[in-house]
Amino acid sequence: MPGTTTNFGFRYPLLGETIDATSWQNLAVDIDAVMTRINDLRTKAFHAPTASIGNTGSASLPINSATTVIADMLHNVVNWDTAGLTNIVGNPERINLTPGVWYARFTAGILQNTTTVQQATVYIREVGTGFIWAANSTSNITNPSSNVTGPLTVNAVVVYPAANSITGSVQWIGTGGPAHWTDINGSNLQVYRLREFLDV
Amino acid sequence: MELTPNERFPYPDGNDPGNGALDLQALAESIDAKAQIQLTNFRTKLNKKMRVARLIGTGPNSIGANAFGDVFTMGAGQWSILIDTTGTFLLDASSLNGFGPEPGIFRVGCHLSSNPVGVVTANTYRELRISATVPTNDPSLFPANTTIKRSLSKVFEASTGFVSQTCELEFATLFPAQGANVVTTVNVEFQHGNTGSNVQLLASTLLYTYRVCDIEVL
Repeated sequence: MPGTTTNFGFRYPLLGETIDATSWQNLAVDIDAVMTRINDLRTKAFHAPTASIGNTGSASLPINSATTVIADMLHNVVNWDTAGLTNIVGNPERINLTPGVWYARFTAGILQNTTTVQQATVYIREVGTGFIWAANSTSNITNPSSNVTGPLTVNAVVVYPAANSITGSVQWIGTGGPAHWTDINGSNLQVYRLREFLDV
Repeated sequence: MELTPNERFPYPDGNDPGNGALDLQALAESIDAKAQIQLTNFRTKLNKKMRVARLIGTGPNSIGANAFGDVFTMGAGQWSILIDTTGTFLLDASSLNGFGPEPGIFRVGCHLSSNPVGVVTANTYRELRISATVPTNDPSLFPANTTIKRSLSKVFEASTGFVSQTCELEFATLFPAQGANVVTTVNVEFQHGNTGSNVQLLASTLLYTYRVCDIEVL
């Protein structure tokens, strides 16, 4: 009956027991298992899941209603994706998140093709429910006749105990249109995971 | 008994009596201890301490104009904890209670949506401010020297009443929670210029605090 170590139960022969190949194998196998656990944690620590989707020059998002519509930005390029979080062809508006706490940022490029813009807002929202994780507004108070707004950025800490998806969304209040949120000065939605929802 | 040069794992030398069982036990225990340290360190890094709270309903309609007030108080009765890994169940996500005495870099953030309860005073400001008063000297000294870090978001409403804004602040603290006189205090505050009526916070307003990483004490 071998002895075992304090924390991980590595097996070793006791005094008087025969030391044979099995003794060495038991110890090696036990250490191997713990090293694998450590390596898994190391991988998580140094390779947090992250993704970024954005637009190239041809992408824009017309919005026809000036007051009530919140529209999801549609992206057409994956800037990076280390964990299979995106499906740019099938779901160009979203990033899919695994359970955990995520830091998300969305930037919408310049808003054009309007007569006036009174207020513009960018959102990070939940797919399906439209739940707002964060939003950021800007207003053209001193120059309400301006027809150019942005770029605008919003960031959020997003908490999901189960898998879910988020979008970057936009809204404007003003006259003219339909407005186009362009890629000028960049439009992108990106995330990285701060931690898993449960302790590892 | 000899020791390996880096991790100090033991092995028998030429003059040892050659007690194989005892040598194996010493080696196994030594590796076991080192592995435990590695697991603990990785878990500490991965299981980042944080607290996130969200308003699940509209806050009290009592926020008067032109005076900073505490955001947590402004949402009284409507906060819901989304995650709290600090071991201190506390709705106020801007508090550093429960984050322990270890030096670290912290991020505090707030997403805030607001709306007047009555008359909208057109084109008036909404201001969201985060400040941290951070002790900077030896925690055993009194009074502690402090420095104040601030971050601010100022947005004007556009005759519709509704405004959303976000604000974040990062700061390093050597002594986040060591004694009443040297505790780092964080304030998340809001004020508005809507003199026509009070303003209230809306559901989805979010408060969060987390330890970004440890910091070396030099």
